[in-house]
Amino acid sequence: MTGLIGVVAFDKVWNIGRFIKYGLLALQHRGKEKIDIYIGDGASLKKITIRGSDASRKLEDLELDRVKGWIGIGAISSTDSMESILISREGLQIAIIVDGHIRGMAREIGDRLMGKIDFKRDLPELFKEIITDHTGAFTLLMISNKGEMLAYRSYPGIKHLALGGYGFDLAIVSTETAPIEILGGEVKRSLYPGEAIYVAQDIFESIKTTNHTERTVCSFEYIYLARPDSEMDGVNIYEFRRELGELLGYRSRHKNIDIVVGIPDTAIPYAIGYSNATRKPIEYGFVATGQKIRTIATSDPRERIIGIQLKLNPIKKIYRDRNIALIDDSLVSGETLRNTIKIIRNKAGAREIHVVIGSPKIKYHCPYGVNLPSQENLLSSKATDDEARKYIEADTVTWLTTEDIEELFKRYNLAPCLGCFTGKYPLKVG
Amino acid sequence: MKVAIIGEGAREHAIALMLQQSSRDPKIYNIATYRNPGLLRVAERSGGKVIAYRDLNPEIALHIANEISPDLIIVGPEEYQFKGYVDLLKSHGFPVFGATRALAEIEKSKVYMRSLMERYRIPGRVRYSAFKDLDEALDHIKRSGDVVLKPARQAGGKGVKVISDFQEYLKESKREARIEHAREIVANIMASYRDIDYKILIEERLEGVEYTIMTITDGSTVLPLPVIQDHPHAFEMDLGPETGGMGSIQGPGYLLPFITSAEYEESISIIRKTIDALQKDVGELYTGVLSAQMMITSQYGPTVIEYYSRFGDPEVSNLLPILETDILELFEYAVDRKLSKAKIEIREDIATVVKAIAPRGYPGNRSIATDHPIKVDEKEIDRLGCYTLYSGVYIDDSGNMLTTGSRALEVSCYGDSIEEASQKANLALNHVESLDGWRFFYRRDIGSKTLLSKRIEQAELARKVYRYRRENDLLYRSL
Repeated sequence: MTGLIGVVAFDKVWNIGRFIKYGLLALQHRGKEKIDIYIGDGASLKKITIRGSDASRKLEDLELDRVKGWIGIGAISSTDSMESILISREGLQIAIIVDGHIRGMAREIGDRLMGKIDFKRDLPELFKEIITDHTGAFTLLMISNKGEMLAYRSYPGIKHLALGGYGFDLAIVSTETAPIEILGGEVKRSLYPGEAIYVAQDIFESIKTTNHTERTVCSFEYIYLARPDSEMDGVNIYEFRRELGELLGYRSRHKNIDIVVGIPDTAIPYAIGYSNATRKPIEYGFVATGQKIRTIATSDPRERIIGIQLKLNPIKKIYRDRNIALIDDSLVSGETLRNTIKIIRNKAGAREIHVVIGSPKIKYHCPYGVNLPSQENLLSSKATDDEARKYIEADTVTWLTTEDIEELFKRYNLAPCLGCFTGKYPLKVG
Repeated sequence: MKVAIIGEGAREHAIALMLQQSSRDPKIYNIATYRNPGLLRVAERSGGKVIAYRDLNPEIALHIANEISPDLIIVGPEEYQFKGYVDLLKSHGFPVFGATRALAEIEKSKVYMRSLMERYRIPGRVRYSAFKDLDEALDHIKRSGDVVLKPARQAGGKGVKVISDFQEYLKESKREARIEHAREIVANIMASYRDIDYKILIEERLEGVEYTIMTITDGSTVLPLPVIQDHPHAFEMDLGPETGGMGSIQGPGYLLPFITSAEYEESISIIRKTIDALQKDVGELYTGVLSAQMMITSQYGPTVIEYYSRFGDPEVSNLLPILETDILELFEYAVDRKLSKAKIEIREDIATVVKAIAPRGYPGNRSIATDHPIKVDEKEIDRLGCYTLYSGVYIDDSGNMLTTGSRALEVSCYGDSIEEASQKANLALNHVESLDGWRFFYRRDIGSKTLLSKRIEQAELARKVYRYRRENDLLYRSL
């Protein structure tokens, strides 16, 4: 998974390195092992690359403002779904970052653009011409050494890109809206599927590459991936999760539950919703140690276990002899829940543990770049409901259905991609 | 009756069109630095003409006035007021509508404006510091946070830098940008002006929603016009650099949906107090227009951002479809100091939207925006019920219409609602054609529901805060 950020200053007095840096740090919940940054000053482009499990920590220490420039793009990622490339030809340089799933796309788009560029036609015109040949679930950021930025969200919008501004001085694009606010900016809107935004110091254009207007968005983004302080296509992520939690709560009002506990951090909004609906008190169940680690966004399995254990030290007293509704956003491999239940049952003395999952059963891999384990490692794929329940050692397990998710998206006039739940993918996988 | 307008922009074109509607059929003369195609047509139709001199100065204007012998002269642009056109023409007995050099100081020197408001304790003032020396200004900038940098003098709207400063982790970058900008103000913007000592004005940054209130005064009576809102960002969705204004919205009626009548009244009272203070300070009576660029701020409520000693552009063009009063009468009453007899009447059943179209390169890189040929299908624009107002275009010797690098022209449209007027303006601007393929831009979103509801939301936010601050007696106080 990947987070993208792009910044253009309308005035050359700016040095935007810090904006790129903090923009990327605000996206590190999406992955943080691979960082590519390009910064330009209207004459040339510079590349900064950071790799390794401590990449985001290295970024924190990096004094990016030393690289002078007023235009830049960056990506922070956990997978190879992110590609970036810098191409130079006859005094022209373009840097492209793609968050997608088709190998070699950044290079191919770059080469095609470079092959066509002449002095008569400008970048947006050429881009519009070539991009219709490239379908898939991807977002793209591009800058040139002439000080232009192009941001693109492919149709039908499975990956998200938002546009924001900072006063009279900056245009900001980002995978999520939260980084725009963290940079002090104002969120304008999500890009339309198939829309390219072209920004330079003297121009702003929205380029439509399709006449279709439907949006199909990644449901996993809403359920797990995005920050709860982000908005996507008009949906407040926190509210979305809380509403799903409420739905689960209404359905299990009959259950004999004493307290509601959410697994931090993602499941907390679900737990709040669940508690609202069941009128059972929510408790603060776990305390984390050290840096926050998102279990899916970490590719090293050992790191993942360490992550789970460090972030879930229980406040034992609240569990003793209680019936617990334990809320999590998703059940992937089952590792997190298995570990968590072991702690609160064996060590803290909970009586019954009713697991409530804020998503349908994840049974299939994601071809669009969400790092789900392969099918044989997805608990819901290989096990029956009861086997899954027994594997994690819960008293009951409740999931949402795909219809529940579709229903909620429908209220926002959106159609979701439910591929990881159904195995039916809205786009061909190239 | 003969009326001469000095100036060559869309503002003067709008004034000319309103004069043309006068029941007294004045002959309209235009004294200008170049031939604005719109003014040219109005003048010729009325039996007057355009007299254009590239190096126009007050003496040349006086000479021309002596030849025409107009019954009324209107000095439109601020720079002409700063240069003393009004003073010279008045001293030779001409009736002139427009601020004298001393009174126009309220616009020319942003430092004077702030100090006047401070000295007379006029509400709607802000905290500020003014500097004659760059190093002193830089010293101050290094120590201060959330501030606005302005050139000390009105410089055609250029050079204002608003940098919100809340995030500690970005502070250093913002400080550097401010320092860089302060250097540019002194080196580029202020360097060409010899008529002011101050270089840089630093004000506290305000948050809220901006609007303009234009007033006509004879020194004792102040007649307010409706609230109009300009859109300074170059690009859609309020993105991009600050311009002279890409369009403005008004109506229906005197208010806009984001402002309360109490705030409108309060704003007018601020303007009245400013006029009183200014006249006292200068020792002259004000004849002309005083426009206030204001903001409903979370800090103070209605607050003055800037004053203009003339009609706002593009705001004046919003008056075209709505003004029912004979503007010539208003001007004459003002000049004769009998404005108390006049009343401003407007059509309150319609809303108006003005939109400007500009060549790519405006406002940051005007050299590439210059001399591009355009064609305007005015008949089609007329058919939509819109007015065409020429601004940054001139007619060359072979009759081609070419850009000057600024906003090329404006359309002023009306409708039952702001949204409807906005849609008409978008249609109207489709009839402007670039003849050499150069890109032109305008803002389709001005007057849209989305933008307007955003303003309402911002104003409500600011209102909540300033009311809290007033109730708790927190204005102009620090611990």
